Amino acid sequence: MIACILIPDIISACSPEAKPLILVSNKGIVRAASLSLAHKGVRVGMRTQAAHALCPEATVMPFDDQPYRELVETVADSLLIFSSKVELPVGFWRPQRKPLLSIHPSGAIFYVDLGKLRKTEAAQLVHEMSALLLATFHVPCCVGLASNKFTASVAVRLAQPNNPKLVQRGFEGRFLARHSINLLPLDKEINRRLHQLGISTIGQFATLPADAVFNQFGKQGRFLHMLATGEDTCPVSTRIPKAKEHLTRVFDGAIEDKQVLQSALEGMGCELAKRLAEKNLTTQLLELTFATDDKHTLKTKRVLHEPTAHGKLLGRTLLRLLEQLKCEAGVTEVRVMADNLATPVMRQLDLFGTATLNDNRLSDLLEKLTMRFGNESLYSVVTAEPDHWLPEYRYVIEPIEEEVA
Amino acid sequence: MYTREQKLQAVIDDIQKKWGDKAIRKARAVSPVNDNLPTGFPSLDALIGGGVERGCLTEIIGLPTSGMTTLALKVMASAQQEGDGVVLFDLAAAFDPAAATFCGVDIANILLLRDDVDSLISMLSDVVGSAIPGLVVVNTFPRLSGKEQFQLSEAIKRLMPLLIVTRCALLLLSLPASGRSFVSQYASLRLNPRFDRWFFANGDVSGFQSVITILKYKGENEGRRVAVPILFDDKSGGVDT
Repeated sequence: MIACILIPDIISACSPEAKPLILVSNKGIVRAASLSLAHKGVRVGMRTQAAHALCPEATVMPFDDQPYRELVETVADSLLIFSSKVELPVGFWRPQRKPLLSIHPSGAIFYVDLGKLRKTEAAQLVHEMSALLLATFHVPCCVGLASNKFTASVAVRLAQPNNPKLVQRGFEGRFLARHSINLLPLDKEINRRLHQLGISTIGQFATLPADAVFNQFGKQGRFLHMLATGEDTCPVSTRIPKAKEHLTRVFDGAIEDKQVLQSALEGMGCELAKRLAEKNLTTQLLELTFATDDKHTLKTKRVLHEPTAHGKLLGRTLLRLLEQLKCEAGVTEVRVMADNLATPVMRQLDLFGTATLNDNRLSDLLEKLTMRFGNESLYSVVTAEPDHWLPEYRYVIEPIEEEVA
Repeated sequence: MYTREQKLQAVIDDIQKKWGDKAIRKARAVSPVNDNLPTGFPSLDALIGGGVERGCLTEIIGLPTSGMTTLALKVMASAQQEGDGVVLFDLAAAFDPAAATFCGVDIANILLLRDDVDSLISMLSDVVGSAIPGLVVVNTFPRLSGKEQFQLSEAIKRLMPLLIVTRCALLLLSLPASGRSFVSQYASLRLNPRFDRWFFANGDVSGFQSVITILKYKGENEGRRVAVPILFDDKSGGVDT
């Protein structure tokens, strides 16, 4: 049983203070919008002016997909407690519009493979998922349940936040039959030809002979025909959660003294290094978050040049982040997150090898050049009288001799 | 149905399985390691992304006593510190080992080539193509004739793909041209140091201040100027400005 979970208004979930929202790209194209606006006709790919005309009270903001992606990833990670097979489809929902968030204008969808469950057990699990998402992220979700991904993705369109839509095994074709052919991932050419043939529903397409569809539309057509008949064999891929290390320090009162914060951060750097060393990991991204006494949250992050688990280096990076934050209010809580964790790559340290290697390699080059061009143009610097009071007498530039080359 | 991303991932997996992990990677998977060669002047490095970029041509245009040679020597020193070999094409026959040592260059590990432009052009592609040196400095201090400029420009044009592959930094020192520089279109970074004022210490000239203008740079700092001190000797005992 596969659950397709749709969070209809993830845009508002990310920016609860200002809604409804229209998020636009640099070119003035709508990339995402709140659910209320989607109901009013705002679509991905629309011009900003047109979207604003549909809903003048909406707030228009530049689209920065980072917070939405982070939220979507976090939601997907939280779903891992139900199943290891959690998938975030990209561009599947409405591929012709190419939304960035794998959604219709305001939502995000996830597939969760629940394995072989009975109807009642699946319903219970779905209820728990919805409760978890509502409690943790304050987002209501709709769930479609079916034996395959495509049918579940169509079922979720009919689901309501507290009423999941279940399609029983064996009834997928009958369920899909009445829906529009546009729900299939058609490319433009197939869509045009099906339209010319007068096929408007999935059911009409499913009734066509499979061989004829293959002859007309090739492999893509055969795949679409299988989807239309309720046979989607694509599995839900397994999700591997990204390892992160969190460190939090809560102060009894608000801290305004910078020196106290600095010493706290240095200590946290050492503690973080200790934790990473225990797990044999290094980090390349540090994120520092301050919760202030005026209920604000300040956040900044820094990507290191190389992954490290060195306490002093981490502490120094945290101090730099502290300088970046320019916090004027009292700090009540400090959170440090180490991301991009990876196992350290062992390198052979060689204190004296580099110069020798370099010397040898230059000798190789010298040999090649001498063989090809002779040694008339090649010179080396020789130390003559290193302590001479006139600098020009300290060194001599000499042509390189044949035997040296 | 497999989405485009899944298909792409499958292709990437196949290639990596066959040719190794580093054969193909997504751009975001490549760690942003800054391996530029520092110029030895932190204020300048801050404006040009950490220093002279590897795999690219950098042009330093300046008159005598502008700090051009010192800048080049400092880059050579930092290249040696990074463990790179350094080759100097000294067309002017003006390499000063004492000044180089003062700037931190290990003169014993420098390959010095002195010849005419024709030989230089022949050797340049061999030197860069060998992938052995990490930095090649070409000092074209004497003003080149029009024909020589054209030849050198053509040679550098042919070298550009090779530079990218070998990650070798090519540093070209030249005099200001009245018209357009002959390699300006190939240079990713062009610096123009100019003498500003003398420094005195104990009643004697101990150095000077050079103002470096960033003539060409991919970042937002193009056109900005930075003042750097060029000191003649570490025994001058400080600077009276």
